[in-house]
Amino acid sequence: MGTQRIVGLFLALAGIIGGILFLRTKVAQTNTLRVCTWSNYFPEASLEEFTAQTGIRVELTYISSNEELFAKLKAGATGFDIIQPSDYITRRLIALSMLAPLEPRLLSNLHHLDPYYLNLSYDPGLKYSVPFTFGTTGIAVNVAKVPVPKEENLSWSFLLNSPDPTHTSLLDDMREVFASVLFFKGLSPNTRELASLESAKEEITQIKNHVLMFTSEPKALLLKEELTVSHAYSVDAVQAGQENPNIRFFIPREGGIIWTDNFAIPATSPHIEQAHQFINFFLDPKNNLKVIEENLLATPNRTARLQLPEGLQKNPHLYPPEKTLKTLLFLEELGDALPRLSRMWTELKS
Amino acid sequence: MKRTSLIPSSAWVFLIWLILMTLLPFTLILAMSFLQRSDLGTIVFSLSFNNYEQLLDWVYLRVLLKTLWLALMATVSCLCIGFPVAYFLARVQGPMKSIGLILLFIPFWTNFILRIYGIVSLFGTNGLLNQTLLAFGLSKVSILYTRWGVYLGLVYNYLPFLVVPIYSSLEKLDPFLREAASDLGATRFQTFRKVIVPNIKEGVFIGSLFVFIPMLGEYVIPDLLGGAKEAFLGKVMVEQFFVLQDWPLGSAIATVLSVLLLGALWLQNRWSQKNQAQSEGLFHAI
Repeated sequence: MGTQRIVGLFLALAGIIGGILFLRTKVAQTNTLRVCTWSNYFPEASLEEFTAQTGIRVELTYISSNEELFAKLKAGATGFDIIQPSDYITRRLIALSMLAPLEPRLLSNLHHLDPYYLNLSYDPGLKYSVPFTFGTTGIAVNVAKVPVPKEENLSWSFLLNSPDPTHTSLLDDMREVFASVLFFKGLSPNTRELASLESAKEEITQIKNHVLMFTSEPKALLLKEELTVSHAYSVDAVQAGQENPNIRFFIPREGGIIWTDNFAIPATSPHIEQAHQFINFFLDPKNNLKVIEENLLATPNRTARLQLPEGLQKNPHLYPPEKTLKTLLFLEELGDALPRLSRMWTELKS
Repeated sequence: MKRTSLIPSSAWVFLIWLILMTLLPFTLILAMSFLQRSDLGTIVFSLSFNNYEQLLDWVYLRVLLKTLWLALMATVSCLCIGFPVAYFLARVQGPMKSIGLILLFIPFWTNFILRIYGIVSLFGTNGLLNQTLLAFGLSKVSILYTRWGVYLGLVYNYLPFLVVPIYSSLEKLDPFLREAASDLGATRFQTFRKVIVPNIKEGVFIGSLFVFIPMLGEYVIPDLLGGAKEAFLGKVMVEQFFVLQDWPLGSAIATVLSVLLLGALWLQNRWSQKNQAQSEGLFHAI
């Protein structure tokens, strides 16, 4: 008797869930574009303008990390028409055939992009993604508290052997921390060689005992001057620098990590054509600028960039000079070396 | 003959909740822990004990032991502070009681993360504590971003969860028991040891588990107050899920943790049954 009831219960539940899923696909077939994005990215006015121009409504879903986005898609979330994965997740989504190929004929504004961003290692020729914003990883320094050698000469050792270790932080991100040490040693941040990784691990273990902390959100602590030297993303450093001009950002001479946030269309999208319209709309320099200015982001859109106020346009923290740009690398998949790296990361913290 | 249902109809809601929110997710986690991660972070459906073998690594065992030890120390500290507080609240009458209880609950009106940031500004390098120390000509102390910071945060955050169950078991205690004990010539200490403690033992144990278990999985406090410098089990588990996309390994860690805790509960259950049987036996003997 009992089992019958439980089976009945499960069937009822399955029915309800199935019903919800069915209704959701119905909703998705109307003229609404479902965009999965970072919070506070698109100004309300821009989206309204898009709707006014095209008659396509936009429904936003927010994610707080790439991993969350990946987990959502992996768990079978469908119905998204636009997603905004960073470079390394884009690479993975392409490898898993989870993205729809882009049609260049529908992206008439693509030529506004800086040529540097047309041939990125994770998606050469932009077959599946369009970069929307980018940033770098480097060192944020409060130059009023810690004297800095001339900019060209700053090395990763300034972070790793910090002159003010009790006010120094590293990113709480194993790839980034390993990359900083590997760059310093003149090795590739994407190396899979165990010996190199092992020696980097030894180094980090030493450094860990001197520095104050690991954190991926150093902005508030930089402003409170709890931190004076900080391994940081350019976005955070630029925002902190806006409030306290003594906080400056450096990309070390050995090179650094560059990352992009992109537009991409999931293979399951029911609105491929409208999604292209959306991407093209934000490739338009006029619309691109609005988002970029609101969020203090760096844009790969050259036409838009040239319309920015002088101060932002020439800000080397946002737009590294050509020479520096050549030393920047994207993080790549580590394949079977990743679990080993993860173990090392746990080991050095255990 | 009237058919008696094993489960009263009113319990169905709870049962459905239990199946949906506890049993089903746990079964999924358990099943997942036997699968594999592909190099691209997807799940491969091949059954094996690989994840558990990986966890036998001394790195993970050290993390487990360290986490258990920290949680144990923090629980014991919570007990040392929480028991007198609960005892006081249960004995005192009148406005002091209400004020005490309100003070105990006030922190919960504030978001957990905000409270942690409160600690950060209190104990930071340039925080209130250090400024006070400096004002008195003493040297600064660094508590934040050390293991002490994690410990402090755990005790601070979980203390009320221990006080409440102890308080409620003390409240339930018949006040005449204490009177009877003293009438029969017991000293205050004897009363406490032979009358009060045996009666609230279970409340204390349950309360301790209430704080010990979530402490084991805690990862926000080690991040914000410990500066993420040391790996504790909660963080390692979260990293498997959200950073490395190794859901199978993360699930294996979660399973190990759950089994340990279920084991502890089972032992407690047996222990209290035995105690009950013993006291019943005693009763019959009399």
